[in-house]
Amino acid sequence: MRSRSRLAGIAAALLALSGVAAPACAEDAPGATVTGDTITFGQYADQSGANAAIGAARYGLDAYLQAANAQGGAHGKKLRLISYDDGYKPAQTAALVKKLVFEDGVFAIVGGVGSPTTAAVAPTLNDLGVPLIGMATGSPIFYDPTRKYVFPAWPLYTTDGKTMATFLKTHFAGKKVGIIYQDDSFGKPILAAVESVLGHVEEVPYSPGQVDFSSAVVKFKAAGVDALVLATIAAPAAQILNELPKFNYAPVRVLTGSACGYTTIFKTVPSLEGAYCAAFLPTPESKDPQWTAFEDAMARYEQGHPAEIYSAWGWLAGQVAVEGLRRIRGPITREAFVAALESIKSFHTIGGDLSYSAQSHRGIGGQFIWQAKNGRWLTVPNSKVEP
Amino acid sequence: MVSSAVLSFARSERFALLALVLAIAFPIACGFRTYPLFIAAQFAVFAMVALSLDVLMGRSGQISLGHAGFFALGAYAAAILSARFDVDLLAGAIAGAALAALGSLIVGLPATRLSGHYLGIVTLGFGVAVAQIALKWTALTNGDEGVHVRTIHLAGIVLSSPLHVYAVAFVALAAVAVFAARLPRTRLGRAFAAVRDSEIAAAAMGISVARTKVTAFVISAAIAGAAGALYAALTGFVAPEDFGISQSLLFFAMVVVGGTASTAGTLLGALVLDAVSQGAATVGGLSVALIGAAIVAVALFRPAGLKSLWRRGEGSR
Repeated sequence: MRSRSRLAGIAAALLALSGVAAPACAEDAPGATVTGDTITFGQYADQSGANAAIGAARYGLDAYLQAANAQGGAHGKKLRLISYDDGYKPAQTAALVKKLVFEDGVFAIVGGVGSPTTAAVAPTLNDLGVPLIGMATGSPIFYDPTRKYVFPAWPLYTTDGKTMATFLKTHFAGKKVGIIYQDDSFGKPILAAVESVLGHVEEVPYSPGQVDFSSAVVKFKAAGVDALVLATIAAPAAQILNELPKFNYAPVRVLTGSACGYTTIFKTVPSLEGAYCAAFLPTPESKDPQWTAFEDAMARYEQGHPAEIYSAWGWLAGQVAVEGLRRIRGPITREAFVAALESIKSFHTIGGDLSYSAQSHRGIGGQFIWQAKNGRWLTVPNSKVEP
Repeated sequence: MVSSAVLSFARSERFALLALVLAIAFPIACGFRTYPLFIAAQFAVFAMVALSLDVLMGRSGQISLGHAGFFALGAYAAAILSARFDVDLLAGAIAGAALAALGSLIVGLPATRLSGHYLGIVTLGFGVAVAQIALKWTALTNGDEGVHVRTIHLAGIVLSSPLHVYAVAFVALAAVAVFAARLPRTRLGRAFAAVRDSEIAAAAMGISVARTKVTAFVISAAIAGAAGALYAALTGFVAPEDFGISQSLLFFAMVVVGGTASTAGTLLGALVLDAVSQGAATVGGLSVALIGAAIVAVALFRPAGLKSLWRRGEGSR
């Protein structure tokens, strides 16, 4: 009895303490105005979980900030990145973003990776008035409705699907099309976009983490599918593509941009020759000045980390954030930053031209098609599709 | 023997008091800052789940490799009720506990015929199934886009501050810890121990082995479900990715590292693994490696878990 009453008393004290102290400690996000000589950005990216490969976005973002610092930073202030590993777990993302905002005092969150992880923090950051910029996802939930402090940069996943479907309709008219898609907010919008262009197609969903795709391949072959769309991330794409020759099955293959690495996929998929990929980034062979700048910076600042498609995602986020900063006139505040971002029109990025306005934070619009030839990706001429 | 029991009780009393004083002192010591309060509240929630798992593993001798499934049922129940119907946290926690308890029957009933590895596989399958259902039943759960909990209130008070949720989480943890610590001295706890030690002997004493096993599952799941409801309130967001196998294994590891059938040990195991997990999050991949290393180290040097630091002569159970 004695211990029970004592515990109850302490419990009551704890609750009372929370009631008294809570009004005084409902924290606003610090760092709304930059006063020091450094502007700090925060990032969440999977470095250890199921999608650790795409966490390389961290190195591209860091490379861009270092390159910008070499040119004087922004408004004479150095740019700094704090990046945390969220293991692709939304709850961990929520915790780490609290650390970035309230402990590290970052000015904005830039280049975060993933749809569910971003979904966990986007509304909270918007409520706190902390900008969330250039996250690596094209999920429609971040574009509509437009949130004041959320600035996606990627083309929508629906544009991804529309680009692949339009390409097939134009170049492979009459072929029977099938699609294997990740059964979530990444794959479903691509499926919807493909079917909006081509009508109903043969479809097979798969769950994230699935490793055996032989039954799907058998189903497509049995159904007489001539052209196969892969709305997958990199690892399932490699597994599916490597299954095809085992069944003596050679359909036209079209991959989403999230499945196409610059170099790794050619090592993991020996039979990639001739496959297509919907992309918004330049190929290494393009000699595009945007690509060259990215490649040079990766070699200079991120030794040991190749200039890959995933690091290019981070580079793109860095371009958007720094362009916004440099457009600020007067004190560097989050409100001024948002206004500056909304003034960006037709800004040349590594992913194409990007525009924002107060009404729309759509970012980059169109995509085009690459083809695998002799162990490298080449851009297919006249394949660009606008949303 | 008697003096040893008294000493043990006094120690557990002192441990409980120390823990509660620390719980009160922590917000003051950290200056009521958002992030430390959030992390501490998250520890309290995870510790509740670990204690619930210890009720099952340590006290009744059964195994669960899918406890994140019960945790998820509670989290989703509370989050959906809050998001759609603005239901109070207490009502959400009760609903979450009830749903998890109901779900436990799916696993608990086969448990009357299964044990060891076979039961482990059934519970593992349950945990995976719950996460998959949460992913696929988009009309209810919103799939991988998750469910947002924007406003949390309890007894008419809006829990707008991290300190609010912190206080609620630690009061709930204290209640669960007291329950878990006192369980072995109750009739039910003695029945759990009897079934754990020998099902044949327990049956010979007139204990219904099947009912006792199912009861352990129901109680354990209900606590995990209530913890899930608190988790939804704490994070403000629930998504399937947070309730996968790795989360179940983390809860399992907390009990094993702390030492089964020990409330203080399980709390310490939860504290150590949560601290490792959070502390190492700033370095990519380090968290998983350190948790694995902690499990291996305990298995090699303290096979009875961290509880053997103060309970000498403990067996491996």
